[in-house]
Formats: sequence, C-alpha cells, structure tokens
Amino acid sequence: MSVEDILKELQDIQEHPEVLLDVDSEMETVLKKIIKIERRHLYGLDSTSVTKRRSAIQELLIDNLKNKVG
Amino acid sequence: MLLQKLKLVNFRQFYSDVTVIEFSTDSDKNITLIHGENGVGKTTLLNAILWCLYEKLTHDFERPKELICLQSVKEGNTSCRVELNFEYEGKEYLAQRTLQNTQQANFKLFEVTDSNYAEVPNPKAFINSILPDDMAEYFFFHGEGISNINAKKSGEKFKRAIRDILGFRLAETAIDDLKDINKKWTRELASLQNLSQEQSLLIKKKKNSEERIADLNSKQIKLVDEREINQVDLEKVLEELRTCSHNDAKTLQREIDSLISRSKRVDSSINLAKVEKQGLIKKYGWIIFGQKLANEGLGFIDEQSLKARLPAPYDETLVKDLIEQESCICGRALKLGTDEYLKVTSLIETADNAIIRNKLLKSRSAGTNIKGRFTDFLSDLERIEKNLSKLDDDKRDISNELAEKQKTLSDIDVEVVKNLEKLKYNCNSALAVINQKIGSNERSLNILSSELLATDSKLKRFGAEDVRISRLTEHQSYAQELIELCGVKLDQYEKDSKLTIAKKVNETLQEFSRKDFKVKVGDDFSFYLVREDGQRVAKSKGENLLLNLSFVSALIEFAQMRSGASGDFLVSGTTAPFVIDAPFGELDNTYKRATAEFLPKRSRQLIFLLSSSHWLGTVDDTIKNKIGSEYVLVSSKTSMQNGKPEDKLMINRKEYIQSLYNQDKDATFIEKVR
Repeated sequence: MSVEDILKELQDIQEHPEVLLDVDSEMETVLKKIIKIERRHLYGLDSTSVTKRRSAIQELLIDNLKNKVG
Repeated sequence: MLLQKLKLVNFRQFYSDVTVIEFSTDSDKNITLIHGENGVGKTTLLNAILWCLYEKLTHDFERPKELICLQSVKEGNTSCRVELNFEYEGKEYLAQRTLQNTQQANFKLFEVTDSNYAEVPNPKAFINSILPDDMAEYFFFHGEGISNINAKKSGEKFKRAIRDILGFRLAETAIDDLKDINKKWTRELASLQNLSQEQSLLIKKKKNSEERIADLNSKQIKLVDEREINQVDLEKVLEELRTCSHNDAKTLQREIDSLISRSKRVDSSINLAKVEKQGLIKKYGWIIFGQKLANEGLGFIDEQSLKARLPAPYDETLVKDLIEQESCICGRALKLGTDEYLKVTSLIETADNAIIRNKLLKSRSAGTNIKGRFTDFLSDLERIEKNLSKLDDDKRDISNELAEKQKTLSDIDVEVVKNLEKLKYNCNSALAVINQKIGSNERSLNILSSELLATDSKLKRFGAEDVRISRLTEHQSYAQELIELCGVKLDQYEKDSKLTIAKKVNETLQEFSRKDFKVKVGDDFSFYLVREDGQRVAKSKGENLLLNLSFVSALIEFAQMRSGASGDFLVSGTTAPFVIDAPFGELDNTYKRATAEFLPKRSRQLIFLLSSSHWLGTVDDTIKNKIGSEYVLVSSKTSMQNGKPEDKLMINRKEYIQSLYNQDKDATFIEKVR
C-alpha cells in the first residue's frame, strides 16, 4: 500500500466517519429494540404492566421472524 | 440525582415546618456539612431522606413507629411529612411522603416545571430506577451503624442492587421476559391438539426439563449465596486464630494458611500440566497410530530396496530405448507382437522413473519424520507425566503436613482455641456440604441441558411434518439466541465493571492505606482485601470502614462516569449523592484525612453529618475549601440548664450554641451557616 493509498483511505474515513462505528449484528439490533420496549414499559411515564410489556416483546419477535422468512 | 432541598414537617424532633436544608449542588464546593452533637438529629436527617424515598429507616433508629414530632402531637397535630427536591437528568422532581396518624404513609412524586407539579405515576419504580432500594443504605450511609457492608449484605440482593447501579436492570429484565415468553411457547406446544404419541411425549419431556432447570438454577443461586456467607464467617474465625493470644495456635494457623496457599499453587500447576498433556495428545496423539504405519512402510521400502525391487533395477528410458531400437540388451530382436516384445514392453509399468523416485523419497522422509515425532511425543509425554507425578507427591506431602498441623492445633487444650477450632470445623463442614450440593446441581444441570438440547432437536425434526411445531420451536430458538447474546454481553460488562471498580478502590488504598493490600471483587460483588499470595486478610474496624467508603465512592464515581452512555443496552449511569452520617467514628487521624480527601473527589455531591469530635481538626482542615453549604442543628429544651453544656461551636469565627435550655419547646431547629 502506497502513501497515496493510505491518504485516500484517510480521506474516505474523513468523508464517511460512520464506517468506523461498530455495526450491530441483526440479533444485536433486535436486542436493542427489546431494551427500548423494556425502558418504555418500565421507566416511561406511561409505565405499564408486566403482561403488556411481555406482549410487546413477543409481538416484536414474531414480526421479526415473519420478516426473516418473508 | 442531585439533592436540592430537604424539608421536614413535624418529623421526629424537627418541629413545625421550619426545617429546610438546601444542599450544595456546586460541583467544586460539593460538600454540604451539617453539624450536630449526639442525639440532636443527625441520624434523623439521614432517616428522613431514606424514609421519604424508600419508606426505610436505619436498623438502629430508635422508636421507629413514633415519627410524628412529640411536641406537635402535644399540640394536637397528627401528621408529619418529608419533602425532598432533587434534580435528575435535567428535570426537577419533588418527592413527598406523608404520614397521617398511624396509617400507611402516602408517597407522591411530582415533576416540577415552572412551578407546575405533574404527578409521576408509579413513583416507587421511578425512584428505584434512579437509585435502587437495595443500595439505599450504601448511598445514605450510617457510619456508626455499618462498619462492614460485606457482613451486612444479603448475597443475591446485594449483587442485584449493584448490577442495577451499573445499569443492568433493563437487560436483566429482558432476559427474564424472554425466558417467560419461551415458557409460554412451551405451554402452547403442550396444548397442541392431534399430536402423535411421540410428539406429545417429547413436548412433555421438554416442559419437564425446563421446569427442573429453572428450579435447579434458583436453588443454585441460593447455595452460592450461602457459600459466600459461610466463607465470610470462616475467614473471621481464621483471622481470630491468626491473631489470638495463644502463640502456638497463632503460629500453627499461619503455617496452615501458608500450606493451603502452597496446596492451591500445586493444584493450579497440576491443572496446567493436565491441560498441557491434553493439548499434546490432541495435537500428536495420531502419531501413535501413524508410527505403526510409518514403521511398516519404511520396513517395506527397506526390504524391497534390499531385494533391489524398489526402485526397479531398470530405468524407464532404457526400456523405451530398447523398444525403439527393437533390440534387447541380450541381443535378441524385439519385433512387434512377439513374446519378447510384449515382455519388455510390460517392464515400463514397473520401471524406475523420476516420479517413482520422488514418491519413494517423500515416503521415506514422511516415515522418518513420523518416527522422529513419535520419539519427541513420547519424551514430552514422559516429561509431563514425571512432572505430574512429582506434583502429586508434593500435594500428598502438603496434605499430610496440613493434617498434622491441623491435628496439633485442634489438640491445643485452651478454651479460646478449642472454641475457635470448633467454629472453624463447623464452617468447613458446612462449606463442604454446600460445595457438594453445588457440584451435584451442576452435574444435574449439565445432564438436563443436554437432554433438553436433544429433545429440542428431535422436536425440530417433527417440525417438518407439523407446521405448528415448526413455528413454535423456531420462535423458541430465536428467543433463546437472544437470551444467550444478552447474557454474553452482560457478562462482559460485569467483568469490565468489576475491574474498573477494583482499580478505583485499589488506587484509593494504594494512596491512603498503611498496608500493602489489594482489594478483590468477587463473583457476587463481595469485596475483600488480599495479600500478595491471594489470601484474604481480615481488617481492623477502621480499615473496614475505609474499604467500604472507598468501595461505595468508587461505585458512585463509576455510575457517574457512565452517565453519558448511550443507554441502548445498559441503563445510563447516574449522578448519585453520598449522604454519610458519622463517617469518621472508627478512623484514626490518618484515615480521617484520607477519607476526607478522597470522598469529595469521587462523589459529585457529598453530605456530611458530623459531630464536633468528628469534624474539629483534621477533617475541618481537609474539607473546608470544598464546603458549599453548612448548617448547625440546634437543640431546644424546656428543661433548665443546671450546669449542662451549651455545646458551643466556633465556625468562621462565629459562635453557635447547639443546646438551648429553658425554652418553650422540646425540638431541634436548624441554623444556616452558609
């Protein structure tokens, strides 16, 4: 790799810094969505029951599986 | 969470609604100092905060049911109230707990915006999400009541509370929820109609295994807790033996400690040698079989070479030349189709050529190589075996010596030693039973987990025939994958957190402790001091207090560090206040200075409740430039002075009288200094 190549790489990173961010796996993205549901139901000002929280997570899992198959 | 204001209305000795404390929220001058002599109300202030947020009181708080100010009761009042204003994530809140007569206290939480009060639903859960209930006694720390968190903590609850501070709550709840959803899907599987007998049996087996695994897991958690408590008890007894007045017992126990350490080192060397042996066999074990093949191969090559058959004594080029020239070496003609011609032509198949010579060379080299490796393998294996045998001998010698020393110690006929030995024996016996149960549970769990895996895989095969089974098992695998991912991530975070917290505590100890010990954070977040050889050491009361305060302050600092975290997996950290009542009681001047130095550095907001004996001198000198807010508690008494002290306190050249006599009320008031 020449110095020019390295400079080009660095310029690319400067223009698109998002390439340095960790890319979540598909499962990690789902996990974060579940955590979001947990937060909304546990700590949100509209905090709700355990049943509602679990239903929301279940729905998310089923939807994701449907999309996977689809 | 930053505490802003505390208001007490007829709470205990604080009469009427005149007690208001404004805490310092300044990050440079982060100390709020409240002076008060014994019995005036310092611990009541700490309890007022605890009661307001959690409806809890410290264990040594006297007459806990009499919360309403007696003076106001005399005047016909039947209620008391504590209000606490605090800031959290840029918003202001007011927590308010009211007690009417002896009814259940009423708790309300409001979000305050421009003098508007919006009530927060589920206030208990909200407060717990900021500072968990189980950690409350550590953030609102009663120095005289607690000198050893480890002794007070209750295993799993303590661990859970610390994990909450570290932000694990959402992810842990997610795991619980996913497990519950999986259980629900197992129930759905079990309720499917028109299944074959084999399918029904498998589903029943799966349900049964899952239930037993859940049951064993919860038993295991309790056992691990129990083991930790017993280990702490045993350590206390051992320390008493190491420091007891009987010199022989003291020496013997120390020798036993040293033998146990040696035994542990030998165990670890044995494990390493076993791992090396397994690795060697895994890598070169095939040589045992390869060597036989190589020997046979080389033998064959040698034999054939001797007989001049390998390689063949005639060259391929020579044979081809003879055919081309149509004349044999012996002079006979080789005419096409004649017997002579066919015979010589057939020699080409076995004639020596470059390819055969190369193959032969390679085979010989491979065979020789395998023979060489076999010799190396055998000598390495022998070396490991010799080492293992020597280690086993060492282990046996140590065990014998240990048993001998232990017997001599047990035979000492002195009451105090006998009692300690009895306690030691009981602790060790209890630990042995617990360890046995834990081991047995682990084995059962392994078996059940393998069974469950096998059942799941069989069920999946049935999925091809029944779409209902396929759908539910697929859902379960998906949820299980998420549970495992979440667990792995949490384990990693927990490991990192423990390292960071231990590092922070060690920094404090290195800077301030007299002895060269290090802190270790155990699996359940128990923390203890260890010597260089890893042996636990017992601490003096002062060292205990220093360790506990540095642990909690490290936790506070860590939680604060994490307050900028994204929060998409862990709950973001929080700024937690540290309210400490009489923190310096057990400390000598050096440790007092150390504590007064590191606590304000580690905590964003520090509230000290101090008597003059704790404050005057060292502590005053160390913290005076960090005080943002200061109050004096003044005790008003209806009794006559009769020579009793006025408890005068000089702050910034102004005199404050802390005990007023011949007053019209018995109560405590608060006077602002700055």
